[in-house]
Amino acid sequence: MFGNKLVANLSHKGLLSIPNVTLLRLSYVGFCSKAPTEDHNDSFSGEDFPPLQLWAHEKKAFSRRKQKMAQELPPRSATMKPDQDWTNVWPTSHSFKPATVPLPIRMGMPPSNRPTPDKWANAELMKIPNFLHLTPPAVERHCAAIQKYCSPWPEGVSYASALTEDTQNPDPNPKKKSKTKLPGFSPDPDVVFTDPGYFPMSVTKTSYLYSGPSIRDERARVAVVKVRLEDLQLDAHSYDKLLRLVGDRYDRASHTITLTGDRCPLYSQNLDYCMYLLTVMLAEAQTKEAWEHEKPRQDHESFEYSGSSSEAAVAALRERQALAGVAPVTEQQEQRYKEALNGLLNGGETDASVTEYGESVLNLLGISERVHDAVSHHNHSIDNDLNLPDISVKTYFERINVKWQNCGWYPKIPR
Amino acid sequence: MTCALKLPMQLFKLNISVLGNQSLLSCRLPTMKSMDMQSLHCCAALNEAVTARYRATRNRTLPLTYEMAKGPFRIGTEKSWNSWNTSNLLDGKRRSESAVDDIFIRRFITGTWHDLFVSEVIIKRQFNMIRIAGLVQRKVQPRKMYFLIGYTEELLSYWLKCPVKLELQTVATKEDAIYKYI
Repeated sequence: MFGNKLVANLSHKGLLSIPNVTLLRLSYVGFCSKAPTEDHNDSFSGEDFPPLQLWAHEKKAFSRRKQKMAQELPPRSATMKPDQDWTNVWPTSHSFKPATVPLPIRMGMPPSNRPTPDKWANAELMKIPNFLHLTPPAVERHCAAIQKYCSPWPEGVSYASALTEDTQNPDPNPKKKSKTKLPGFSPDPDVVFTDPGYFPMSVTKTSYLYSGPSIRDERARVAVVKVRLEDLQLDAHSYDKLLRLVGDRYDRASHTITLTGDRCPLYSQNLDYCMYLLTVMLAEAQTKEAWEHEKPRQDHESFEYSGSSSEAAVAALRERQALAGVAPVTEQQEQRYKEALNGLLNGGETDASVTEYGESVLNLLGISERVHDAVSHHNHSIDNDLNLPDISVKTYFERINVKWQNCGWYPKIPR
Repeated sequence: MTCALKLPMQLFKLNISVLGNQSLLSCRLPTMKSMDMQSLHCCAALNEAVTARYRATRNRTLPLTYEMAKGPFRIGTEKSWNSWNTSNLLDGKRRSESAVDDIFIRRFITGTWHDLFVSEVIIKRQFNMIRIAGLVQRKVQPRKMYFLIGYTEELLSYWLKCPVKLELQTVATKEDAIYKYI
């Protein structure tokens, strides 16, 4: 039995053909029931002598089959011609493809003593957006293709030439070129109504673009309407009434009304509402109610000299001057006082307006020089104070080295 | 006063014992001398020292891609984001939806392209479209890869209700995408 096993093992390993006398002898002993003869008719003869399979399902070691990979093609950039049309190579937006881009691009932070990672197997280059599809020829062709959908700029619109001149006749000295500013919301009043490019109302709509499956955005419903107040051509009463109606929607600096509609779900509804609001407010401003004449002086939108207490004071001064036999206040003095008062109360309190007001009052009262000043009283000796200056106010302040600061009547003396 | 100073010192000792890192100990000590309560940043320091870092092997055999080699605090300087969309901008919409979709896409890609992606899955959203980019090793037959591309694009666009494009770059082996060994 030992011989059987041995031969089976050896035959399996392919060693049976080794001309070894001992092995052959053993095989004879093991496999043949009778002694071998020289008879060639026997089927078991020569090399066809089969091994005995004692174990039918013998384990065979299979080697892993190796897959034949397709041959790797050379990169496309290697076969590119210099005069090729790049827009055909890279027609649309696409992540970076190193085999297609014939540029030695590198990106990334290398480890020490190593070069910057190149374009091959560089995930950083694939992340960033590239503009290889937006080369100048591609943009030019795109513009040429969509030009048939564009209409010419309306004739006579003021900033059409400013927009087109630069592209048609490029400036040889672009650095020296002054920026042509488009007319904003407050154009030159002389050309407003003669200029067909001037639009008295601006309507603002905002669209939002997202990287997402929906194009809806609730903020796109907001409509903003701006109107310049001068363009409404209102009289003084309507002007004042409209300002009271719009409240904080009026911008004093630009003289514009801004109406914002955002309460309806759609933009068009909000725009309609703004227009409705504007119409209703204008109609309301232009009507004069029966009770509106009851508006007291305090509610007037600006100071008016006629009928004011200041006018009454000037009249009283005239009466007293007439009683005392002094020359009364002249028309010029009163006019100066009136203008100074208007400037101070309507224009706001500034250095100039306050100073002018003071001067005009002194002029009105017939006082040519100021004899007493609060600052000099506090900061100077009595001797100096008694030495009444016979010079003008301006030179007086110069003499005591006072510099005008923020407010007119309280000069700060430098230390 | 003593109590207030004692507390951070104990925290500091705890930090060292957990880390067991002598270099950290030596570099943090001088700051402790002039420290006050506000200058103590145990957690932040730990964060930067430990988070998303791979432990170096003794014989430097652990391969890292560029993405793995750079910590998360380098996003925006030395490496960029793996998800590009407008949801994460100021007042962006669909924040959670985009994030969940991205997780789903990454899981799907990882399972479908089993052991083929050698980089992170880069997801770029552009208008209505989702572009999925990445490095794939040439381990399977090209026809199988073409099938996978079509299969992925088709299924993902049905699920996500928008066109999906796969923009892959192939590398011969995994080693091509390795940045360094630690």
